[in-house]
Amino acid sequence: MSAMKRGTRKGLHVDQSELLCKNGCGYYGNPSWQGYCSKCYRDIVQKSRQRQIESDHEYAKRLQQQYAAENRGSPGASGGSGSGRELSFSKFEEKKTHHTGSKTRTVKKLFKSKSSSTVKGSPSQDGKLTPQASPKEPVLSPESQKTVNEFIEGLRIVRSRAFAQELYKSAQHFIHRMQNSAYLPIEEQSEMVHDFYNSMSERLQKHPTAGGLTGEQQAQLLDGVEKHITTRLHQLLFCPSITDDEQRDLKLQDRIRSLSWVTPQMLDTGIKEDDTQVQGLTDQAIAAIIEVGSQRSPQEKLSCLVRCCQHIFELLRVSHDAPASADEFLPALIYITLRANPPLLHSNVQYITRFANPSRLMAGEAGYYFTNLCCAVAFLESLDAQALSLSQEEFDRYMSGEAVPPKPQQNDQADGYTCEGLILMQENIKGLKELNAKHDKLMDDAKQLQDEMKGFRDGVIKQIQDVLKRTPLDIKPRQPLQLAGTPDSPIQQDLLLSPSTVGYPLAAAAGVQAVTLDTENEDNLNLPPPLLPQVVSSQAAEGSAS
Amino acid sequence: MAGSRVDCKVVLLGKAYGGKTSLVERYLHDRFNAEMPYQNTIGAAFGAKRVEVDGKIVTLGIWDTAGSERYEAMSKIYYRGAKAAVVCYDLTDDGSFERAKFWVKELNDNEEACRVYLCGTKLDLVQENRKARRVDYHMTTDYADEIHAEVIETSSKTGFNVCELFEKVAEGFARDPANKQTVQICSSVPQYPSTSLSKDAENFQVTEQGRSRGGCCS
Repeated sequence: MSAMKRGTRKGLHVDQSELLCKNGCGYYGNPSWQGYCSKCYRDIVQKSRQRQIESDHEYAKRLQQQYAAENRGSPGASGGSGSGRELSFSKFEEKKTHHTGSKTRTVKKLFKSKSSSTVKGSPSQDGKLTPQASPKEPVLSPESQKTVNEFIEGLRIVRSRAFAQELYKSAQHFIHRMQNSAYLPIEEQSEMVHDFYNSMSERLQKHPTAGGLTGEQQAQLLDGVEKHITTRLHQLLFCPSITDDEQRDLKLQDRIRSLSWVTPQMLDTGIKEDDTQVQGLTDQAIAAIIEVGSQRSPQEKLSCLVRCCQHIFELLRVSHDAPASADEFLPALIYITLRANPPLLHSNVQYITRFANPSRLMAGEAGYYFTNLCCAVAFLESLDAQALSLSQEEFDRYMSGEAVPPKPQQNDQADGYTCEGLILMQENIKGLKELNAKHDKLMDDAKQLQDEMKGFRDGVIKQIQDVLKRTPLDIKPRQPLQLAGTPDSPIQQDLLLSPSTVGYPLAAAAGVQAVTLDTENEDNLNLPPPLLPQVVSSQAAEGSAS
Repeated sequence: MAGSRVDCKVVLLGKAYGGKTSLVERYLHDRFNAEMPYQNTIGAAFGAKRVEVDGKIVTLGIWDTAGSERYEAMSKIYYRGAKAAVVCYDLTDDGSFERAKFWVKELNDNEEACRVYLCGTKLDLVQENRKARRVDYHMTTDYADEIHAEVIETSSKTGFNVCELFEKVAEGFARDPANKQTVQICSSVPQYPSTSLSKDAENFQVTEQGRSRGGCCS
């Protein structure tokens, strides 16, 4: 108030400076944003919310530790089962780390969240709870908390606040309803979820205040609803105990394991296994398909699958040098599934089928890949000798492990009994051998060269010595020649001097030649040239001496 | 995720190497086989394309399927929920038309809501050499009348009739009263009555042209 008054009295800029954001960012503040501008205020709120999440997380952790400590303290029935569960978890984890070293973190996170949610889940379910462990409100796992926040963020695009709250409340209400109807057959639960999606989408279309939303925004909101609900209910809906999903998971896993002898050639994939780039892409695709299991909402699972399929397309492109069609893609996906043998594959497929928004599965890109995955699973389940163009007898023998299929003809250097790593090792050993041979040859050549050089040198020296022997150096013409030569032939001097820089044998040879020339010259004409040999001859003498 | 919203699921069925993939390639990226560098796309198995019909936007999701007989048992999974099916046959291969009949039967048995379009491929080969034709045009039209389907002969190499085929599919979808709601929901473009009329007329022209062209060369 006083600021306002002062502002009106003193002029505009005092007023402005007082109305600016407290953070000093230059924008105007607003009392309803505690004196900050909208942006700074949002940052501050977000920070405090983040802090809240972190403290929640810590609280959940503490509870978990408490629970674990209690279990350890009293090794009762519950403690025993707890440790047993842990054992099986670690087994799973081992398997996953075996497949993907880099994915361990997400996997761990998943299991951590699972165990933390069992903390909050167990008190309500089996009654024998620890009273101090149950808080007033159910503690959400960090993932759930995160999606709740994301959902609330997503609701911001709804203009009417009341409507946003209504949406949030109905989602919340639906989650409670689902939590209380876990005993229903899974088909009914699936129907309930689908009905909820439909009613939500209808509401978005019909609600008067939602009219301003574009189709895109509506879709975005529906995605948010789907993600929120499925993440929160993942625990209940994924591989529920009322179905036989777990047995079927194990059965499928065993089945895929027993088919591990199937080669890409049998499936007509045309994957070039020996290409290192293809191998890298194969590993990436396998990692992505395994990651499907570590996500909570169908969307996230599907986006992992999409990533996997993109890697497959890429590796087919590398293998074929052309973009792949469905005729090549499906076999490749089957092969990747076979190689990856993702844990809980059946449960994941069922979960997505039951609880993803049907419109997504029916038409979109993710739906296409998911359909292909379903085909791959169906194919692997019903795989028989005919499908691999093998005789029934062969097929049975491979299945029972009695025999191992021979490696295809085009890959003749490695025998069929080896795994990928061994083949790679063999190839590397072969490469090393080749390098070794090359190296040996190089060394031999070098030695030969050395010998040749030595021989050449010896030869030259011998030649010189022979020449020297035949025409012993006489120093007699030295004085007259030297005196006469200098004024007369500088060119010849140059000629003789330059070889001397090259190396002594040559110089010596040149010198010797010069000497012989000189002697000839001397015989025929009394010319000054004989001088030159003298200059060199001293060097030659040195050379021979050394 | 691009193309995650799709109104109309279109499955391509047909014998392996019957020209399905080339058809998608031509329609989505307007190219044929090796004539363009491939770096831009990773695969042609799935594609989404927006088509305008009567002033409304229809997004077609085109699903290529594996044609090998090995995966025949799984084809049910593919065409579940499809609004339209393009059953391809190779004009130079009478066996492929027999396979097409098989798929038509499957579709009629399992997916009643699915509209069927018979698509003869590799028309360019037949035009080059009339003797190469193994599938008679009148025979296919008679068959199509029998199963209430439409026939269109295309060439992915020249691009002839390819767009027309998918326009037909989109029109068939958009004008089907059963799909009225879906189309309206998903069209994010505001509708102006005056322009929608003119676009309607335009569209008609295109298809009429396509049809007449299709007739003359067969």
